Amino acid sequence: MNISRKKSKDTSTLIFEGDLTIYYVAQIKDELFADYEKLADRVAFDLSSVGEIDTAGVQLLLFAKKFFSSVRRPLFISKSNESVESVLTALDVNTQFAIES
Amino acid sequence: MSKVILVVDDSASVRQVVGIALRGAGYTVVEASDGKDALTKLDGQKINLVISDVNMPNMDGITFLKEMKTKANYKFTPVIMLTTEGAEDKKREGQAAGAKAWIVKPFRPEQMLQAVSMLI
Amino acid sequence: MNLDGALQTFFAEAEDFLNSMEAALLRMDEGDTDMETINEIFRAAHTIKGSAGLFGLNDIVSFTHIVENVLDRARDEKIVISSDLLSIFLPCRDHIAVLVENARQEQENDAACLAQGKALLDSLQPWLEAAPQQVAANVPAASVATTHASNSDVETNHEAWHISVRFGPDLLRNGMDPLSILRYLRTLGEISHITTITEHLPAFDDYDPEQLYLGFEITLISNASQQQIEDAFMFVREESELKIIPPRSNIEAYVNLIKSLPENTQRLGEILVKSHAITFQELEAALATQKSQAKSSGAVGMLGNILIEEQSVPAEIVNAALDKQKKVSEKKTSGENRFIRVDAERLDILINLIGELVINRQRVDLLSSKMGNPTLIEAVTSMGNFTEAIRDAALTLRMVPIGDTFQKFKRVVRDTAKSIGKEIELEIEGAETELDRSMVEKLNDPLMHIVRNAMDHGIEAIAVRQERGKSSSGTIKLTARHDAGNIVIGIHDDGGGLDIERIRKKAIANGILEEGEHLTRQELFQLIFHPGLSTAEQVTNLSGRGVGMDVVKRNIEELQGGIEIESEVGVGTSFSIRLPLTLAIIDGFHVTAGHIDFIVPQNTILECVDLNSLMHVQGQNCVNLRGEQVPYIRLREIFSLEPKDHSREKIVVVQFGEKRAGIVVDELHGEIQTVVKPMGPIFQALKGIGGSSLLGTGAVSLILDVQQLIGFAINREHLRNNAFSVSAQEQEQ
Repeated sequence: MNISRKKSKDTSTLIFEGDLTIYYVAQIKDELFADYEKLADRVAFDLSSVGEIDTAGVQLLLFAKKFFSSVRRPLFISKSNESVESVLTALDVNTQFAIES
Repeated sequence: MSKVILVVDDSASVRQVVGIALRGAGYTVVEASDGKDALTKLDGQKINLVISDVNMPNMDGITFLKEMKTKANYKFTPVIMLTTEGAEDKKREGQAAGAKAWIVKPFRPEQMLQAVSMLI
Repeated sequence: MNLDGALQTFFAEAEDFLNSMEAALLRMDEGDTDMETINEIFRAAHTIKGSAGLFGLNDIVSFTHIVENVLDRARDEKIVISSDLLSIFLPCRDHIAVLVENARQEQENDAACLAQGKALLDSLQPWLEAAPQQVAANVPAASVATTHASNSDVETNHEAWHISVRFGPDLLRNGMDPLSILRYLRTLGEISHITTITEHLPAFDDYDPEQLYLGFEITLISNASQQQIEDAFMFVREESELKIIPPRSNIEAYVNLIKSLPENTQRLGEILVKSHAITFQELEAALATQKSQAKSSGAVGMLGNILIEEQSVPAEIVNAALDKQKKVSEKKTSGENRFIRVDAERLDILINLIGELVINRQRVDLLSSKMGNPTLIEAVTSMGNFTEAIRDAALTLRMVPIGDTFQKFKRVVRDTAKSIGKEIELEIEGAETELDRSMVEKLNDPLMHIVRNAMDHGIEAIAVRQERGKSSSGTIKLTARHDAGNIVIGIHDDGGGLDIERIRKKAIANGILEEGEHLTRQELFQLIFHPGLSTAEQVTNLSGRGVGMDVVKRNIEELQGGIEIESEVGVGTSFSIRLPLTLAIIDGFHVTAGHIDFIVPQNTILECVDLNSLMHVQGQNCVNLRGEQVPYIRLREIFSLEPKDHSREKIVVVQFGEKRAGIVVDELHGEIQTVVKPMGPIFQALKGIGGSSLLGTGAVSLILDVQQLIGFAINREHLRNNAFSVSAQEQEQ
C-alpha cells in the first residue's frame, strides 16, 4: 500500500494504491495521519487504485473521517472504484464520505 | 480473481472431496498432507482461507496454526479447524491460538461450503 | 458433484488404515501399551469416520463413531485397554472392514450385518461414558444447513427480522470479516436496512486499526428461521453480542433491545424507526411506560435476564452451558497443577537404568574395598545409600492409587443389580492405597469376576433377604490396605455365604475329593477355585461368561499373589487377595545349581526336601511325595551347567495353579527380597527364566519362571510315558 499526497487550492488529495486490508491498516494509519497539519482545509481520498478493501479498511476510513472532522478538516472521497463502492454501500456508510457542498 | 483455500488433512480422500466441493464453488484449492507440508505451501502465495485437520502426523493442526500466525503475510488468514466431537481440550487450545471457526467431523461437503461462505 | 474418483481414494485409504489398525491391535494383544499405538488405532478410526461422512456413508460413520469414542477414552487414560476390550475391538475393526467392502460393492448392509454391528456396539457399552448427553447449547457448529428447511415453513413469509450485533475486538485479527457475514446473510434474504455503529471508535491515541470497534443494526427481510440467521454468526458468536428480534415481535422486545445496548437510547431509537422496525409513536409510548414501570418497581432488567426473558435462549440451556464450562475449567486446573502425565514406558526405562546403576555401584563397592582406601570407601558407601534411595523413589513413581479401579465397579454394580432385580450398594474403603500400575491393569479382570459372582450368587434376591431378616439392599464392599510390604484387597458381601458341606459333597461327586479325606476349612473353600466346581444351582447370565473362578486364581498367582476366602452361611463371604506392591520386587528363595545362582519366587514353593530321602518312581524323573507322584527336572540339566562336587541334591517342590513339580538344585541358601530386572531382548527367548536380579554380593542371579518349568517337567514325563507304551506295544508284536 502506498499513499501519495497532492495539494491543490484548498484541498489535499491522498491517493491510495494497493490493498486497504487488515494486513496494511497499521502501516496506513502511520502514513495517513503523519504531518496532518500540513494538509489543506479539505481532505480528499482518491480510492480508485485500491485493490481489496475489508472491514478493517472501512473502519480506518470511518476513523479518518472522525479524526479529520475533529481537527476541522472535512473528509470526502473524490474518486473510488467498483469494489470500494460496493463495500461502502453494503455497510451503508458511503453517504458519510460524500462531497460536502 | 478466485479466492485461494489451503486444505490441510492427512487423509487423501478428505482432501479430494473437499477439493472437489470447493473448486465446484469457484475457489482455487491448494492441498497439504500435514502441518509441515502446509507451512511449505504458505511461502509466497496468497491464501484467503485455511481449512485444517487437527490430528495429523508430523505436525498437528494447532502447531501449524501457531506457526502460521507468526508469518507476517498470513497472520490474519482465517482458519477453519476440522475437529471431532468432544475434543474440547484441543478446541480450547486452538481457540487460544486464534482458530475461531470449527467444523465437526464428519461433515457433508455442503456444510463446509456454508462455513466457508461465512468467512470469505 | 462427482465424487467417484475420491470414493476410490477413500476405499484404498480405508484399507490401509484398517490394516494398520489391525496390526496395532495385535501388538497391543501381545502386551504393547504404548500411547502411540493407541493413538494409531484412534487415528485410523477417526479418519475413516471423517472421510466416510463426506460420502454420506452413514452406517460406517455411526458405527465407527462409537468405536472412536471408546478409543478416545483410552487415549485420555480414562479406561485401560484390557484383553476383554481388545477382543471386542478386533471384531469391530473387522465389522468396519465389512461395511467399507459393502460400500465398495455398492451393496446395502443387510439386517444380519446391521444386527452384528449393534451387538458389537452393545458390548462396547461398559467402556463408554455414562449418558453422554450433549448440552444443547454446545451443539457443534456446522451441524446446521440440513435441519432447518422445515422450520422455515412455519415462519411467516417476507417478514423483517431485526439483528443487532456488536463484534468482539479480536475478530479481525482472527481472520474474521463481518463483510463476509453480511454477504452470507444476503443469501438468506434481503438486507433492507443497515446501520454501521461507529460510536465506539476511540480517540486517536487509543485507536488500534487491527482491532474491531464496529457494530451493526440490520433489518433482514427473510423467511429463514431464527436458527439459520443465528448460524450466520456461528463463528463470531462467542465473542460478540448478538440479538435477533423475530418479525412481528412485541414492541417491548425492541425497547428491551435498546435498553440492553450500550449506545445512546435516542440514537438507537432513531435507527429502529428509520429501519421501519417500529414507528416513532410506538417507541415514545413504550419508552414512557417502561420509565414509569421502572420507577414503581425499581427494577431494571439485566442483559442476561433480557436475553432469557425474550426466549431467544432458553434459561436452562444458558445455565447448562455455564455449568459445563465451569466444570471443565475446574477439572483442568486441579488436574494440571498436581500431576504431570508421563509415558509409562519412560518410567520403565528409568527404572531399568537405575537397575544398571545399582549393578555398577556393587562393582565399585567391591573394587573400592579391594583397594582399601578409607576415604574412597566412605565416598562409595555414601553414594550407595543414595543409589538405593533413588531406586526406592523410582519404584514409587509407578505406584497409583487403586481408587480409580474400584470406582469403575460403582457403575458395574449399579447396572448389574438393576438387570438382575437386586438392590446392591457398593462401598469403597482405602481407595488411596497404592500399588504398581502394571498390577492395577491385571487386577481388573479377576476383581470383576469376583464382584460379579458376589452379585449373582452371593447377594440374595430381595424376597430371600427379607425372609432372613436382612435389609433388602445388599452390600458389596471393596477394601484395600497395605500390610507388611503387600497390598491386601478385600471383596466382602453380606449375602448367603458359602455352604462348606455343599462344596465338599460337590467336590466328592466330581471326583476332586476322596470320601473321608480331611481338609481344613480354608482348603475346602479353596476348592471353589477348582475348574469345574460350581455350587450355584442355576447358571445365570453373569456366571455364564465363560471364565471360571480357576481363572481368577491363576490371574492372581501370575501377579505373585494369593487369595483367601472366609465365609459364613447366611452372613456373607470375604475374599482377600494379597499381592506384592510391585512386580519389580519379589520375595524369592535363593538356590544354586552348578555354580549359578537362581531365585525361585517364594509364593510358588510348597516345600524343600533332600532328593535322596524320597522314593523315586522307577525309570522316570518322578518322586513319590507322600503317595503323590511329582515329576521333576534338574536345573543343571536343562541349563547344561557343570556339576558341583559332593553335592547333595535338594528338590524344591513348586506349585502353579493346580500343577506341581519338583526343581532339583544343588544348594539352598534361604529367603531374600530382590529387585526384578526384566531380561534383555536377546534373552527373552530363553525358556524357564523370567528375569534377573542382583544378590547382595553383586552377583547376578536368574529368576526362575516356575510356570514354564512345571510345564517342562510334566510334558517330559508325558512324552516319556507315551514313548514307553509305544515300545511296549512293539514288543508284543
